Amino acid sequence: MTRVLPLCFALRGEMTWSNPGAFVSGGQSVFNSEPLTRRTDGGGGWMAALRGTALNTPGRQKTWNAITTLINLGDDKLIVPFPGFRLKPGFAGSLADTPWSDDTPFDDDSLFASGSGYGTLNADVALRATEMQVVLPADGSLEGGEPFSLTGPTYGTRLYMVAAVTDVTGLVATITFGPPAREAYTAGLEVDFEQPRCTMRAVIDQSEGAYPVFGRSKFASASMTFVETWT
Amino acid sequence: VTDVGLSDDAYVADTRSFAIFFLLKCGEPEQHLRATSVWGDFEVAADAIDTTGGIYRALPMPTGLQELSQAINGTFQGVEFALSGVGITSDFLQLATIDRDLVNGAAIHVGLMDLDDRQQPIGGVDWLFEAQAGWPKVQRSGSGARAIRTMSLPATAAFKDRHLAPIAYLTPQGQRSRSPTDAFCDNTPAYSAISTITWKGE
Repeated sequence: MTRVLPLCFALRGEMTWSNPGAFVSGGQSVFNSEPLTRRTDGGGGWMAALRGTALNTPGRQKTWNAITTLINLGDDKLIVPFPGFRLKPGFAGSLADTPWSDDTPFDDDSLFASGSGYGTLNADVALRATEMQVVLPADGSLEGGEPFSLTGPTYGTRLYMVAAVTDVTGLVATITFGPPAREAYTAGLEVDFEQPRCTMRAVIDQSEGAYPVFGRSKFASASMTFVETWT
Repeated sequence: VTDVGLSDDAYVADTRSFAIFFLLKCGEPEQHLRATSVWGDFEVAADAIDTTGGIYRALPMPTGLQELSQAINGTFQGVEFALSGVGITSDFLQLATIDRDLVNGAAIHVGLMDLDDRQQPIGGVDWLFEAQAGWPKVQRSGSGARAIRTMSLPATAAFKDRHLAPIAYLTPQGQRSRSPTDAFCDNTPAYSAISTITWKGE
């Protein structure tokens, strides 16, 4: 089972995301201006770094201990949520409070949380494609820059970004996105703008501070690096 | 010089992205092991080298890729393809251990493919380098949590002569490997350029 990193450790400010890429350098350029590099990673992959997240409550301390124990003892893969916030499209991002069909809440007056930040694939997406058609929810629109994730049978949930919206016909938006599709996706698949996330692996041995040292104030901080995984 | 197709029209600038493909052909019937510098899977159609086509799997980062000197000036020394750390999957380990015999002598091809600004392929793979694999090696350096396992595969191209030099010492082991029952060279270790050999007996 692939576990999900608790959202409290994936908030913006705690975690920085990057697509580091791999480049081949072409050496010195004539005017020493534009570097002569060529990309060899075919679009690269995601890396997320958690730097010095505060373990300042018993809950966070226990959660962190549980995470490091779980991913070390079993399947190291982990689904890491991407902190969308203002990057999310207008139709996603806030969960609506929804009662039962007879307009009554639960016993404790709480309501269902329901989101509408999902689209569906209008057509198949080939392996390594960077263009797709999404059926958006009613009144939904995309501008470019929105994060989303797709869940496929081989590599699980993967994170993508909308590069540009090239065409809108009714509710169907044709978008370009990156990085290239990790696997082929079939039409009808859910496109998750609500909680974009990525299947990653913790790089324990490169993470100084994965095992926190508790000071006399019982405060500690922890760090860990996650990399998109293929194995 | 339009006659040979070198006009400005034919000039195509290099794109800013390309992918590196590694193909190892080994075994009987021939099996193809495919790896690429691209993060993720990359499907390549069949061509003259990769006769079946297939999916190239991601190597973590092409950090162990040496300069490939396909030199024709005689300085070619052979190359060593190295793969470190988590990129070593059980498939690779099996090649280095159980299937060692299949790998030795297998053909290695290295090719490039230009990618456009959407990382989509432009044309097919240009197979630039062909070599013959040697014995794979597995090394472990460091200790404890920081130990790094490295798998390497020495390879030589056609420019390197693998034959015995014309003037060379014939060793008993070498002669036995060529001809198991021939004892002709068994005494050669006793010979030396500065020793005087006394021939006895008549």
